[in-house]
Amino acid sequence: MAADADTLRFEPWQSAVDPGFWAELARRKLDNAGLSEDPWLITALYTPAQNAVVSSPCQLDARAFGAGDESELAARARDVAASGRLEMPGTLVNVNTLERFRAFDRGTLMSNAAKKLVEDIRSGRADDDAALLTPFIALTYADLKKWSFYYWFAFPALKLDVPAKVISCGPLAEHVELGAVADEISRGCEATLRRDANDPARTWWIVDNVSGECEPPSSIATVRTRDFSTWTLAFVDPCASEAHPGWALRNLLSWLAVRTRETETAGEAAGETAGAAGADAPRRVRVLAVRKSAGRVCPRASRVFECVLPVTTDGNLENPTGVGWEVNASGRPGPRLANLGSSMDPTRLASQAVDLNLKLMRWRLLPQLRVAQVASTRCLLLGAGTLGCAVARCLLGWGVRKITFVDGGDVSFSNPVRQSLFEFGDCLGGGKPKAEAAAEALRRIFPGVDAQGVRMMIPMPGHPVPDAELPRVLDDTRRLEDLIDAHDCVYLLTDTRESRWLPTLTCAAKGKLLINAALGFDSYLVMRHGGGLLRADERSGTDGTTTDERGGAFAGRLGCYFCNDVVAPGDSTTDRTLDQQCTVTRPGLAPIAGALAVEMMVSTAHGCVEGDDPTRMPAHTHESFASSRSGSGSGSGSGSTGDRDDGTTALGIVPHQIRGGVFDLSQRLFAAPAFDRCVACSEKVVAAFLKPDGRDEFLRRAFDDPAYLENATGLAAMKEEVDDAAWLGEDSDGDDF
Amino acid sequence: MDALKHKVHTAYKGVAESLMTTRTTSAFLEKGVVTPEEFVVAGDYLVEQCPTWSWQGGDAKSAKSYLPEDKQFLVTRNVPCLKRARAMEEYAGKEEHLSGEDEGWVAAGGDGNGGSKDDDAPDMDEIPDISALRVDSRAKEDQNDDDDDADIPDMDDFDMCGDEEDDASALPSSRAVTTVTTADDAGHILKTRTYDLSITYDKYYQTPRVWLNGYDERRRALDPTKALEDISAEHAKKTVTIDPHPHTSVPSASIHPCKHAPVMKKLIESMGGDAAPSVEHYLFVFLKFIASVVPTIEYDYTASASLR
Repeated sequence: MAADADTLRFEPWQSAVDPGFWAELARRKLDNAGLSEDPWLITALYTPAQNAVVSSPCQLDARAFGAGDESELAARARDVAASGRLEMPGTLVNVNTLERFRAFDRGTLMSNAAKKLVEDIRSGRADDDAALLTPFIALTYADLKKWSFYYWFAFPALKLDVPAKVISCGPLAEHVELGAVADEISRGCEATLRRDANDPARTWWIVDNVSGECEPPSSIATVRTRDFSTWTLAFVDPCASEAHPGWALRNLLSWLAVRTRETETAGEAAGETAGAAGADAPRRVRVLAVRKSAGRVCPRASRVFECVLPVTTDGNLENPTGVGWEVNASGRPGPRLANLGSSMDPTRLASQAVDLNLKLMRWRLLPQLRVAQVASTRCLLLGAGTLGCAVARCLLGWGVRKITFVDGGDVSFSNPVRQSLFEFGDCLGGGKPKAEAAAEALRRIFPGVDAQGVRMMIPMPGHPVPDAELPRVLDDTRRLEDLIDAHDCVYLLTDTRESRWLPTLTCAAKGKLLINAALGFDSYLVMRHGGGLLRADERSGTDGTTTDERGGAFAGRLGCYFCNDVVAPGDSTTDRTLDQQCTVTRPGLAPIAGALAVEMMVSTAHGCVEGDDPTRMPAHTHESFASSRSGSGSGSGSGSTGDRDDGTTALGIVPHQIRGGVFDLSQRLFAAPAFDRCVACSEKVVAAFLKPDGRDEFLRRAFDDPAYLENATGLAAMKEEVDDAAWLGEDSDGDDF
Repeated sequence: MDALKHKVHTAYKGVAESLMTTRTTSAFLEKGVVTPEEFVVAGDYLVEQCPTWSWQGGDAKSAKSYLPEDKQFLVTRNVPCLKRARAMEEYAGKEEHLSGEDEGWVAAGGDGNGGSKDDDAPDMDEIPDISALRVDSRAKEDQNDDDDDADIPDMDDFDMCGDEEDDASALPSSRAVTTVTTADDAGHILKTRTYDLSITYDKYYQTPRVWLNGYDERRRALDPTKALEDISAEHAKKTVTIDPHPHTSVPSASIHPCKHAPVMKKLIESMGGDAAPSVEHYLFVFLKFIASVVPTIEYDYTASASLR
């Protein structure tokens, strides 16, 4: 259609998207929407033109998504009103792939918007809610890995066969008729704009041509009953152009054309036409484009357009055509790209990217995955050696942010090749303290982690404490206790049997989740310890074992690392050759066992509901594994909670002990009850440990003489009862389990 | 290293702010600082005199308890910026940025020794040096449209540009106001950027703090480092940092308030005379000072009333 010289041309909207909008879109996509492409209702804001230099854009920020409680909505409305902005209702369609974005059926999107415009106009909805006449569409694709957002806005307008025409235009102050009352009009418009943010009369209103009075509330009834020559249609104009009004006027004129044509048709029947020649005859309307200067409605900046209303044909209304896709920098309709990756703080970017991979698991594979719960687990790693490094790396993978290492050693030249957090440089000058060096490495790998290193030797039974050292050692036991208190999960990753005793006891006494990993030459053990004291019902069974009905899970209090032993831990390094002192293991074991230890913690987190004691979670065995497979047919669950009918978790089964080896490449699950004479977790030792005034003495004696523990628990007596002591001689042969 | 220094300082400042009590006694005449209450009084006056500015409450989660919930920060949006600061400085040649009564303002801004260092005022030695953020002096934004589009925010080769809509009623984008680029006398193409400016209260320095969020001539959000092109060379190298906006978390260019207090003190003194200015004029004086930092961003700070 060729443009006639007098066709009224509207300046299109320009979208101005604040980076906060994209950040919020990304958050909602990842956390709430998942794979859904359902449209979101959003709100943009605009103001009248503020100056003669730039038009006011259609702005979107983080609050465009609107959702929130009442007080948030009220606060938002207050800010909108305070800054004199108006709302535009929009629909956002965020698609899942770039290909979808590229191939999206925009034609249908636009024609649906056009149909909705016609409906809103004909039904009268737009009479009361003029914002319906300034709709917008946002088609987006969010590349969350690169933090790039592809977008294309449209500001649908009805395209009519006979468009609006302009007869003249000029500043309000110089208008031949309105100029005389320009100041009154400006004041009235200013007052109208200051109305409450939700007042529909803020979008357009009527000005009396003679008195200059503004007449809100505007309503179609007012328009219908008055002669067109007596009033002026005032609207909030974001456009700064001297010769053109903004896009906001376009649908408003179409609305006026439709609603007055209907009136006229009705009016003709009643014999009270206002002098028009016919239903389709063009009619003139005077429009005031309300614009500001220096923050106030200004008669020099505001402009009066003498227009001829567009004519809406039946065809336009039955089969409406919409236009209004935004142009990009090429000057043609096209998509835009906001790349925020470069402007974001890299640390924050890394943090978001870490969570991204985890949250993506929830989209399809595992909606029940408790990403936030796992990530917020505070982990204490006792030992920063091969196992400590392996566990820490895997924890980072699960998004865990709080990791504390405890180790008393320094990095030695043999360490870096097996212990993945250390480098050659860490060994120089006598070696850096391992705990702090490991924490530093974690922070280098991922600055978002809260990693600390604590240099401390864990006090051990069988390592007698000289009197002079005693206060320091006892102090260490309390430091260890404080550290355990300050974390949610304790990993026991030391390389001797005796160093595992105090942490085991402390965690048992506190009911803290403890995951233990130990290595032999070609075999490994990963287990979780039971916590708290044996309950009466658990004691009743002959051997303390009960079996859950649910798939053979073991439901009694689980044993600890020492429960299967009848020898108290003692000095395992003195008078041993080097190959007996060092844990001589095949290098592949630590990564395997470290990873299993972390996965065990994560599965445990999915087996508990809030308030559950994770140390009391039943232990699954291969039987429960089999039943979980046969039950669901696949490894992934479907319930909304972690618990499944068969007692396994969304992540599968959670055993008590995993014992495996790389000699026969086997892996077995065991469940064993707590032993009532255990030297590390039985009632008697726990009670002695918890006794405030006897604790220090108890610990001193335990450190000095392992036999003390055997006597205290009744283990010694039990051993005496057993005639055949031959099996007692088989102490570990270098394996520390 | 400088970025690191700034980071450390930001962390330190955060801790210090959480421990500091807010100022309660007025000291804007003696030290150039204001209390939160005085900030609100001055803000109310600014909004009344220059309605392009408005108060915002922002997100409740980011609200500061020492300010009213609906008066957390001031904002003015869509402020035009016709040309880059450097371009203006070139034309200005050797002329003073500010003349007449304004003499000494810029000098004070560059002079870190002028401030008072009493117990109340935070230590001036903490000024983060951010020369790392210096604008490339050969930035080419004046020369050609294509430079900006090299990273193809809008994609010609994207192969999905729509057909021109056959629409006689739409003004072609080339004729839209904001995208019209004009050439100046020297033949440079001028691109009109727009800025959303906000003013927050900085508890640590006890002064207002200005934040800039820019858009290019096509209304694409500017990378905050590009805002440095609109800051006078003298300040761009020294006192501008990129930080998350305290209420929106959007990375924004900000004029670091470490020297605001001594500058404000000097300015207030220079207005001196018999009657000292009242505290409600504080933000006008402040914005006049900021205008020397961002000379081409045309925000409104013209008080109709006399400042005395």
